[in-house]
Amino acid sequence: MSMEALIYNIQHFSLHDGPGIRTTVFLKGCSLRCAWCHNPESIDNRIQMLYDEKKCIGCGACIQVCSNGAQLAGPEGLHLFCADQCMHCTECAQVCYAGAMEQCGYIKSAEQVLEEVLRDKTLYQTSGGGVTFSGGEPLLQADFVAEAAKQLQAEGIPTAIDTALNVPWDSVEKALPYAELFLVDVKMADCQKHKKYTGAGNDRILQNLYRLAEYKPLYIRIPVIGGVNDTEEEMANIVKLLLPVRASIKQINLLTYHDFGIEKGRRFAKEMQRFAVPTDAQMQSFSKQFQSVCESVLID
Amino acid sequence: MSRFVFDREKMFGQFRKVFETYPTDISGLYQKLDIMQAENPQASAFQKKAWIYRMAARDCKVRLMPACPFYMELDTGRDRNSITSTWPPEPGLATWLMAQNKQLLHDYNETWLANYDKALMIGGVMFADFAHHYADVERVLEFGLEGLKAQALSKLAEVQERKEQGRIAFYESMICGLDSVMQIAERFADEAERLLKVTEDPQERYHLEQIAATARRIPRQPAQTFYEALCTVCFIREMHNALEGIGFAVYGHLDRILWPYYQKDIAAGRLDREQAQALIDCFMAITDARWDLNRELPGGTNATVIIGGCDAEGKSVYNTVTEMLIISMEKHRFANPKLQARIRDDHPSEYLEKLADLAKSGTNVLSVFNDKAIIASQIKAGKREADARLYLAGGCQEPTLSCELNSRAYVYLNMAHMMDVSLFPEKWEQIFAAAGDMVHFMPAYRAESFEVFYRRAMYNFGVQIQNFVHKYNQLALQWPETNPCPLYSAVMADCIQNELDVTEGGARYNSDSFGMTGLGTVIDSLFAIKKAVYDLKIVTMQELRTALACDFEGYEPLRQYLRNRIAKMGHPDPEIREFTQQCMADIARHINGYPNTRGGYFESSLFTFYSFEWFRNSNASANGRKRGEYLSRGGNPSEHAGGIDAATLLYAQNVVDYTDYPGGGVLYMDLPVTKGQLGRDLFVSVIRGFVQNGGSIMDFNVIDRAQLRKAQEDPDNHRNIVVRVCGYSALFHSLDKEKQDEIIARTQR
Repeated sequence: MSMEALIYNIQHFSLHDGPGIRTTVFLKGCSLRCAWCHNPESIDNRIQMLYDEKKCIGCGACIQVCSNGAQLAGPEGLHLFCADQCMHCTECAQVCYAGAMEQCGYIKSAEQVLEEVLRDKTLYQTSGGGVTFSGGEPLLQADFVAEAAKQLQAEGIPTAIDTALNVPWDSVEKALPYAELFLVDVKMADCQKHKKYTGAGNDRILQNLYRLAEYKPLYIRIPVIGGVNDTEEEMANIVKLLLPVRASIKQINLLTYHDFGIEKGRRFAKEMQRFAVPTDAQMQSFSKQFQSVCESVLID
Repeated sequence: MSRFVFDREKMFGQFRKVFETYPTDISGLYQKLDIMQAENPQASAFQKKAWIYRMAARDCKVRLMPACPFYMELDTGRDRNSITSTWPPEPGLATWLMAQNKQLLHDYNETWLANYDKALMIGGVMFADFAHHYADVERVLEFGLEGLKAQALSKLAEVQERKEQGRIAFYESMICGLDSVMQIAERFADEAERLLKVTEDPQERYHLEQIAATARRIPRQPAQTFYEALCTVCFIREMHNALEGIGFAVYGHLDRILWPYYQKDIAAGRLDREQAQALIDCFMAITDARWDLNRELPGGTNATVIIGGCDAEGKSVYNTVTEMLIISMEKHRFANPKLQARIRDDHPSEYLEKLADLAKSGTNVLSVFNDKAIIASQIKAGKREADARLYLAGGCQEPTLSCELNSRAYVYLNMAHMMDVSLFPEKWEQIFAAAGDMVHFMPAYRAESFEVFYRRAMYNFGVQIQNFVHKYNQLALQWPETNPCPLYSAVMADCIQNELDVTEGGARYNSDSFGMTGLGTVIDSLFAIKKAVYDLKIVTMQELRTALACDFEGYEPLRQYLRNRIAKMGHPDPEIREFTQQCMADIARHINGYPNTRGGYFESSLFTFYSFEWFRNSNASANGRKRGEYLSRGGNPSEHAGGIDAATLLYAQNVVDYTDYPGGGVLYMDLPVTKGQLGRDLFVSVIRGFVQNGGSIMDFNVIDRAQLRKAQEDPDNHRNIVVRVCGYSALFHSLDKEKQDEIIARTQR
C-alpha cells in the first residue's frame, strides 16, 4: 500500500524554497495558527472548499448540487458560500466550470508525487536544486515525507523540508536520514508572545531546532510582521537564539510580511488580521543584525 | 594616441547629429532616374539597378563619424529608422525601382490581400521577404570584391559568347554593383583624409587615419587583420542595406568569422584584447547609435549577431571573440543588435554561464538556438550537413543558411481562422471567393467521429496552405522584375556560377516560409472539440458552432468548461501531450515541401512576431477564447492554459519533434528577475533544460513586474528598460500603452 498525503499544491520552478530550481510540495495541515499566515488554506488538515467570487459567473450549478445548504443564491445573480455549512463533499467544485469553487487538498500517493516532481530532474541537477516539502507543517505527515524523500534520495534528488518544527522530535527524526536541508521558521524569541500570535509556545520548537542543528544544515526563515516582531530588540533576541547553532545556518531569509493571506482567507470565510508591512529600511537594518549569525542574509 | 577607444557618449552624439537630419531629400536623384527611364524604355530591371548603384557611388554623400573607427554610412535618402522592409517602399534611392512597380503591388494589396487582411486570415503586406537577408561577408573576406568581380567577369565572357542578353545584363549589373561599392569605399578614404585636415582631437585623428589607410583596400581585397575584417562586416552589410532596397538584418556568425583574424593579430603583436574589445564595442554600438530608439519601432532594428554553434566540420565555436561580444552587450546594455546564441551539448559551462549573466542582467537581447534540433531540421529539409552547420538567424529569430535565400517572416497566417474554416466552411468559401480564390472546404463539423473531423480539418488546412502557396508563388515571380539584387547575388554563394540572380533562385538553397500564428490556440481548440463534443458529449457540434458564432454570448458556462476543464497544450497531461505531438507533426507535414518559384521549398515555422496581437479579434475559438483575446505566440501554449511555469514549459518541449520545423519554432520564455548566483544557475539550467528537451529557439524576456509598473507611471525616470516585445527588443517607454500592458500581463503567469 502506497503512502499517501493530503497535498494542496505542487509548485514547479520554485526559486525561494531552498537552493537552485526546486519543486515545492505543499502539504495541508498545520500545528500553528500564525495570525499573519499567508497560506491560511494550508492550516486545516482536511479537504476544504474555497470560493473566489471574482470567478463566479452566477450559473447556479453549485446551488443545484449542494445538499448541505452551503451554497445560496445571492444578489445580482451571484451566490453566497456559507463555509460553516460546507461538508467538503466537493460536489460544487465538480460542477463549477469557472473555477470559483475550488477544492483545496488532494490525497496523493508518494508515487504520484514522485512522478510529477521527477519530470524536472534535469533542472534540479543543473541548478543545484531539488524538491522541498512545505506546508502547512509537512512534518505532521512525517511518514509520507520520509518515504517520498527516501525515494527521491534514491533518484539522486536532494530534498529540503520547510518546517516550523512544532512537532514531536520523532517526526523530525523520521525525515532526518533522507532530507539534506531544513528550512526552519523562527518567528519570535519570547515564548508568551509566540503563543499569543501562533497559538503555541516556542519551547518545543527551539528544542527541536538545537537538536536538528547537530545533524543538518539549516536555512532560517523569519517572517517580519509589522507590529509583531519588527523591532531591533526582537530581532536581537532572535539573533541570540540563533547564535548557538550558527555553524549549521547556511542562510537566513527575512520574509517581509504581505497581505496575500487576507484574500485567501476570505475564500473560506476566515477573517485574517491585517498587519503593517515593514519598510525597506527596516528590513535592511534587520538584515545587518543577522550578519553576525550568517553571512548570507536575504530579504525576500 | 595610437589605440582604438570606444567613447560611447561621443560616438552616440556624432551619430545623432548626422542621423537627426535624415531622411535627406533625394528627389533630384529620383528625377534623374525617371529621365533615364524615359530615355531608355527598354532597359531591363538589371540595367536599372545598375543606374542606382552608379548614382549612389557618384552622388550620395559618405558620412563618417570620427568617434567610430568604421566606415559604412552612405546617405541614400533612407530614414534613420529603416530596415527597408515594407510596402509601400520606404524612402531611399535603392527603392526607386520598386516604386516603379507600385501598380502591380497595389493590385495585390488592394484586392487579394485586403480581403484576407479584413478577414484576419493573413497579416503582412509583403509578397516576399524584404527584411531578413544576409550578405555573405565570408565570401568578401575570402575573395575581396575584386575577386568576386573577377568571377563575374569570367562568367560575363561566357554569356557574351552565348549572346544571352538577359544574363549579360545580369553580370554587367553585378559588376557595376561591385565597382560602385569599391568606389564608395574609396570615397570614405577621401572623406577621412579631408576630415583629417580639420580634426584636432587625437583620438578621432587616429580613427580617421585608420579609415584613410584601410578603405582603399578593404573590402576590395581580402581582409588581413581583425580591424579590417570588422570593417568588412560593417561595410558590406550597410552597403547592401543602402543599395539593394531590401533589409539585411544579419551581421553574421561573428565569433567564428573573426576568430582567425584575432588569433593572427594577437600572434603578430598587432592587437591586444583591450583593443579588440574596444573595436567590438564600437561595432556593437553602431545600431543603437544610428537608430532613434526613443521612437516606437514596429519590428525593431532587426540587427542580429550570431555566436557559438559550430563550424562547417561540426567543431564547437566558443572563443575570446564570443566572450567579447557577450561582454560588450552586458557591459553597455545595448538594446541592439540581438545576440543569437547557438548552443551545443559540448559547449563549455563557461559559455552558458556568460550567456546566463547576460540573460539575468535583463537586457533582453538574447535568443538561444538549439543546434541539434535546428541543424537536423535543415538536413531533413534537404540541405547539406556542412551548410546546415553554418546556419544563422535574424532579424527576429528566423533561421537561414549563409548560402540560402530564405524568404521568411514576410507573411503571417492565422491558424485559428484556418481551423475555423472547418466549423464554418460555407462562410469561409465566400471569403476566399471574394479574393478570387475558388476553393472547396470539407464540412468537418458534420463528422460523426473526431477522427473524421480531424482528418477533414487537416485537409482543409492543407487546402488553404496550397492556396496561399500558389498565390505567393505567383507574386514571387514578379520579384526579379520589381527588384533584382545583382550586388547581393555577387556575395551569395552559387549565384555567379548558376547565372541567376538571388531573386531568380541563384542561391544554393531557396526556401520560403509562412509565419504560423496561434498554434497553441488551435491545438487546444481541436482537443476541446475532441473532448467536449465527441468524447464526453458535453455539447453538440451544433451548439458549439452557435456559441462560437455569437462569441459565447449566453454560453458562459460552456465557455468556462472549455477553458478550464479541458487540458491544454503545455499541460503535463499525457493525453494532451500525445495529441500535441500528433498535431504538430501533421501541421508540419502539411506545410513542408511545397515548391516555390526559386527552385526551393516551403518550410514550416512557428514564428509569430506580433501577429498574435494583430489577430486578436479573430472569431471565438473552441478553447474558450473570446474575440479580442490574444492568440498563442510561436510554439508557446495559449495564455488560457493556466499553470504553465517555466519548468512545465520546458517539459512540454520534449513531445515535439522540432526537426520538422526548419523555419524554427520559437518558445518565448518570460522569467522573473533574479539576483546573485541563483540567477546564473537558473538561466544555465533553463538553457540546458531547453536543449535537452529538444527545443528549437528560445527567446528570453526577464521582467520585473513592479519595475515595469513604475516605468509606466513614470516613464521619464525609467528610460533604459529594455523589454522583448516579440522577436525584437525595445525600450519599454517607447511602446504604446497596449503593448506595455501586454508585456506586464506576461508577468502574471
